[in-house]
Amino acid sequence: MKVSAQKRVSKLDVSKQISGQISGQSLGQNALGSGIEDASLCSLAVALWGWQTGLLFVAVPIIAILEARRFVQQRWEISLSDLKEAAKLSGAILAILFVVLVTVEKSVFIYSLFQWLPVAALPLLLAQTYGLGVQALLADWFANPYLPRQDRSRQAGSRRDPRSKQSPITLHHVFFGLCLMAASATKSDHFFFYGAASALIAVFLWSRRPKRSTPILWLLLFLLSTGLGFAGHLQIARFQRQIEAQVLAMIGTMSSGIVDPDSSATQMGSVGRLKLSNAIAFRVAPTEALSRPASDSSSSDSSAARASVVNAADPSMFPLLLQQASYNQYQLSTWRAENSLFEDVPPGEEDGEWVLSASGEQDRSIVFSADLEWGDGVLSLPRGTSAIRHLPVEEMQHNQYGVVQVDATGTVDYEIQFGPSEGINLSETRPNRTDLQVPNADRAAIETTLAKLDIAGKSEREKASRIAAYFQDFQYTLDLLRPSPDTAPVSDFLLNTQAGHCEYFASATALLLRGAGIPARYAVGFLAHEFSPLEGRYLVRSRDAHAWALAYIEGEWQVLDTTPPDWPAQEEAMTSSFQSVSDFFSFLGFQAFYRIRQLGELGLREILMIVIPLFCYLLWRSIQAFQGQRQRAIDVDEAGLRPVQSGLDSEFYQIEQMLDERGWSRRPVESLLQWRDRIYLSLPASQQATFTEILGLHYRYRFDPCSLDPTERQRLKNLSQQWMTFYLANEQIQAGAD
Amino acid sequence: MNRAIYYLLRFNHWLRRWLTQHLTPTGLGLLVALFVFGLIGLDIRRSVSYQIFAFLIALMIVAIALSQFTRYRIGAVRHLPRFGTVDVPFKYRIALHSYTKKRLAGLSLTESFANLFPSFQDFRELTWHQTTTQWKREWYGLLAQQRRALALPTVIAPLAANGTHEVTAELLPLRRGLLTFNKLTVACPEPLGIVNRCMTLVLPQTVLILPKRYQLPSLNLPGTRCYQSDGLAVAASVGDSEEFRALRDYRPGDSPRKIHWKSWAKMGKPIVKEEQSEYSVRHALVLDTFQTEGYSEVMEEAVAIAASLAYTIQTQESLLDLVFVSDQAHCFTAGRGLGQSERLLELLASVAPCQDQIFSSLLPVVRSRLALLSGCVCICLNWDRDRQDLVKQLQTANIPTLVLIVAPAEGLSEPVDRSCLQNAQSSLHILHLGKIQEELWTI
Repeated sequence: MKVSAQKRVSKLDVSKQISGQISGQSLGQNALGSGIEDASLCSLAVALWGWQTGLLFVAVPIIAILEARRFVQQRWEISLSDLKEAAKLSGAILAILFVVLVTVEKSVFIYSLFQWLPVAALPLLLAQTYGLGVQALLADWFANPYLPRQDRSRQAGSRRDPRSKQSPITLHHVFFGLCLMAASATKSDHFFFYGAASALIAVFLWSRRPKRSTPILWLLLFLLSTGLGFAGHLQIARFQRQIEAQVLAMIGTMSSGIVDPDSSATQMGSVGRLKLSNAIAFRVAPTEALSRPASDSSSSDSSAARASVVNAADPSMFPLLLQQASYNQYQLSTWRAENSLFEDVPPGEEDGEWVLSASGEQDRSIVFSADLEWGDGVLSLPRGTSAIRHLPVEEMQHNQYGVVQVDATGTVDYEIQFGPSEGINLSETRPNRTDLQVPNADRAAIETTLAKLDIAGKSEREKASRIAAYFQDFQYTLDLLRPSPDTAPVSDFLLNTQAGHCEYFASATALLLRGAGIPARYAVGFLAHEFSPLEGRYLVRSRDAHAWALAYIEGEWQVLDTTPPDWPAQEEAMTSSFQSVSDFFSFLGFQAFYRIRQLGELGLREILMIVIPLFCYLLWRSIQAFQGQRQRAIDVDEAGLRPVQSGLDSEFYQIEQMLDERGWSRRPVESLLQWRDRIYLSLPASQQATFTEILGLHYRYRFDPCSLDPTERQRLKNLSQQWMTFYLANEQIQAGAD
Repeated sequence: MNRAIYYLLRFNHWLRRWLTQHLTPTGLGLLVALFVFGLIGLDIRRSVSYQIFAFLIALMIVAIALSQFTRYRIGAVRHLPRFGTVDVPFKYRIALHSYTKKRLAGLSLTESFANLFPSFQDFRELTWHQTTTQWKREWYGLLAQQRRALALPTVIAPLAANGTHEVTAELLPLRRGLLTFNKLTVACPEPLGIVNRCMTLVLPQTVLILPKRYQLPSLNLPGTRCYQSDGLAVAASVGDSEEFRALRDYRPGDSPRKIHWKSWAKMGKPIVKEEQSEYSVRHALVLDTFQTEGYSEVMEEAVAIAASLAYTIQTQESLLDLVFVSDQAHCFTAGRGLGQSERLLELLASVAPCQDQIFSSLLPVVRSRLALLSGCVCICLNWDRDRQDLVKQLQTANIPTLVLIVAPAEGLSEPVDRSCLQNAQSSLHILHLGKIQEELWTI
C-alpha cells in the first residue's frame, strides 16, 4: 500500500515540476508522511456518507470511480478553464438538486440538499483525481488574496521554490469535509456516526502530524480529544433542548398579547394622506370557472345593495368581502378583541380539510392563491365559511370573533367553501355588554346624531337602515383631516368633517348602532372586486383593505358597510400608469411559482424523466468544453519512454530526507557525492558500503538514459528500505545505550 | 463610520495574519470546518453535525493547551545582503542558536515586514469612489502596494540542544525602495499538528530593493562626442583627459584659477596655462516622474525601464546623466570613473513621484545641459504638450532623442503626434503595460 502511495505521489508530482527543479526532499516528505492517500480517504468518507444517509447505491459507484485510479492509467492535463468547467457542472447539478428537493421536500429541503452535496461535488473530485496540474492551479489561484490576480501570477511564476507551487489544501480535502458534512446532515440517535467520523478525522490528521510527534503520544492526545468531544456533544444536545424548551415557553406567553387578531390600531385622528400599496396580496377565483362571471357588474351596481344591510344570499358573488378579524372594544382610535381565546379547528376527513361549520346545499366555493406568511397566518374568509380544503397545515385555530389562523409559510392554493344562505360565522359568539359600549369621548356626538335620525321605537332592521342611509351624504377621502385636535376622531367625523376613509365609516357605524341599542363590532378584511382578464382571477391588492361594521340583528351578526361605494374607484385613480406593467410581471412570477408547485405534485419518476435529460445535456456540454489533453500515465517500468524528470521517485530521496531530519542536511551547492563524503564517517560502519551502492544505483536511475532494468530498480528499492530500517534500529539501540 | 470600517478591515488583516501564524494549514482547515459544522448543527433534531462540532472543539482545546506546554528559547541573527531586486528572489542567512536543553524539531521561520497595512488617510481617499467593485479593486491595490515582499515560511532542520544552526531563507521583493524587516517569528507545532507555538524575535533591519530590470537589446545610442566645457573633475584612464598644452599671456575673461603663478613671477606679467579641450560622449536619461497619483503601475514601469537603461548602457567611455524631478530637480552623472551604474540604481530605487510640480519644471535642468549632450533618452508617462516641448527643444539643439512612452495596457487615449521628432536619428516608441519586455526588444 505504501509503495503504491509513493508511486502515485511521484506520478502526480512529476508532471507538475519543470526541468527537474524539484528536490527529492519534498517528494520524500510526501511519501514518508502520508499513511493513506487523500483519494482513499475520500472513498472512506463516501462510504460513511452512503451508510449514514442510506444512499449507498450512489456511494458505491463513487467509490468505484475513485478507486479505479489504481487501474486506469490515463490522466488529463487540466487547465484553468477545464477546472472552471468542472465547477460549472457541479453548480448545475447543485441547481438541479435544489429544484428537485424544493419541490419534493418543500420546507425541510435544506438538510436533504446537504445530504446530496457529494454528488454535486463529484465533477471537481474527478478533476482532482484524474487531472494533472490541479494543485498548481489552486496554488496560483489562492496564492495571495491581497494581491491583484496579475500580481499573483507574476509572483507565483517568478518564485523558484517548487514548494510554493503546491497548495496545502486539495480538492480531496474539501470533498472529504463535504462528505462528513453530508453524512452529518441526517437524524441519528446512535453513536456510530461519532465514532466513524472521529476515526476518519484521525486518519486525516495522522498523515499530517508533525514529525517530532511520537505515535503513542499522538494517539493518546487524540483519544483524549475524542473523549472530550463525546462528553461535549452530549452536553450540547442536553443544553440545546433546555434552551429550546425555555424559548418556546417564552414565545408562547408573549404571543397571546401581540398577535394581530387582538387589536387593530386605525389611522383615525392622524393628519396627512393615506398611502396605499398596489401590491397584490392574493388571488381569488370561483371554482366553477376561472373566468369572469357573467353576472359581474360595475362596482356601483352592487354597492347600492351594500349600503344597506348586505345579505349574503346575494346572487352576485363578487364584489366579495373577505373578513380577517373583528373587534368589540373601542378606545382611543384602536379596536381590540376582548379576551380573545383561540381553539383548534377540527380537521376534516380529507387531508388538508378543515371544518368550520356544517356545510349547506347551496354552498359555493372559491380558490385562494395566497402566501400564508402574509398577514401573519390570519386567513381572509368570506362570511359563512363552512370548510377549507387543500390547505396543508398541521394546525388551525379560530377565536370567538371569527378569526381563523394557521401557523405555516409558503404560497398555497386552497379552496374555501361558504354558504351564501348563512350570514354568520359559526365561531362568532353571541354579543355581550362590551358590544354595546360607547366611549365617553364620543357619547355626545353619537347621541346628537341619533337624535337627528329619529329611530326611537323602530325595529332593529329599520334602525340599521336609517343609520346606513345617514352616511349617504358623507364623502370618501384618503386625506386625513383633523380640524379640531381636541375632539375625538369619530365625533369630529360625524359632526364636522363628514368625510373620511373606511375606518371612520366602520367605527362611526358601529358606535351609532351601539348607541341605538344594537350590538355591533368592527371588522377588517378585504374587498375582492378587481377582475384580471389576463389571469382570469380576481386580484386583491393591499389597497383593497377595508373595514366595515357587524351588527347583531335578529339573532345573527350581519355586515353593515356604510363606506361610499365609489371608494375602490377613488383608490384606483391614484395608481400609477405603469401598474399594468407591474401586474404583468407579478403575473409571470405567480405563474412561475404555480408551475413549481405543480412540479411538487409530480412523482419521482416524472421528476427523473425531466432531470435526467437535462443533466445529460449539461454533462455533454461540459465534455464538449473540456480541453484537457489526454496523457498517458508515466510508466516507470518502461525505460525507453522515460521522460526527463524520471527517477524522481527514487527511494534514495527518503534516505536523504531521513538524514536531513537528523541534522545531516545537504547544502544547496553540494552534490550527492560531496555530501556522502562529508557524512560518510558518521554513518554506521556496516552500512557505509551499502550507502555508496544505493547512491550509485540512484545516480543511474536518475540520470542514465538507459536507466535501471527492473531487477536493479527492485534492488534500489530493497536496499534503500533495508538501509533505512537498519539505520533506525541502530539509532534506537544507541539511544537506549545513552 | 469610515474609521470604524477602517479599524474593522485592519482587525481582519491582523486576524488573518495571526491565524496563519498560529495555526497550521491543517488547523486552519479544522477551524473552517468548526464554523461550518457549528452552523449546520444548530438544529440538533435534523442533523448530527453538532457531534463533529463538539469533537472539533475538543480537538482545538487540546491543541491549544498543548501549544502552551511547548516551551523553547531561540536567538537569531540575520545576515542580509546590501541590495535586492524586485521580482528576483534573494537568499540570506539566518544564524539560529537554541538556548533549550532539548533537541528542537519541526520549527519554521516567518518574516514580518513593517508597514503592511495602509494608513487611514489612504483609506479615506478611497471611500469617495462610487461603486463597491471599484472601491474593492482599489483597496486591494492599496494592500498590494503595502506588501513589499513575499516571504514563505522557512523550514528549519532539527536544532540540537544548545546548538547553533544556520538556515538559508529566501524572499521575493515586490516593490522597490527600502524593505524594512521587523520581526522574525519562530513557529513550532504542538504534537497534534494543529496549533503553532510562536516565538517572536524583534530584529529590525533594512535592505534596499532596486527597481526591476528588463533585458534590453544592445543599444547604440546616437550622438557624437561633445566639448565638455568644464572638463572632468576626475581624470579618466581612457579617452581625452585634462592635459597641459602650453602657456600664454593672460587675456581678459580667463579664469584666475588658470593663472600660472610661477611664470608670472618670472615674466612679470600674468601668464595662464592652456589645456587640451575635453571631449566626451554624454547621454542624458530623462525620467518623467510627474503624476497626480501617489503610486501608479506606469510610473513603476518607467523607473524599471530607466533602471534597465542605466544598468545596460556602457559607461566606461561615455557619461550618462540621470535627470528627474522628485522633491526638487536632480541630475546625477555616471561613467568614466565619476560614478557607478549601481549608484544610479540606488537612486532610482528611491525615486518618488512628483505630485506638486508641473512637467515644465524639468525643462531648465535639461536646457542647461543641452550643449553637453550627445544624445538623450526620454522616458515619459504621457505625451502632452509639455513633454513634446521638451523633445522639441532637444531636436532644436540637434540632439538625437529616443522617446519611450509608457502607456496603460489599453494604450494612450489620443493618437501620438510624432511631428516634433525632426532629427533622423530620433525615434519614439510606446511601451504598453504587460508587454514592455517584448516591446523593448523591438526598439
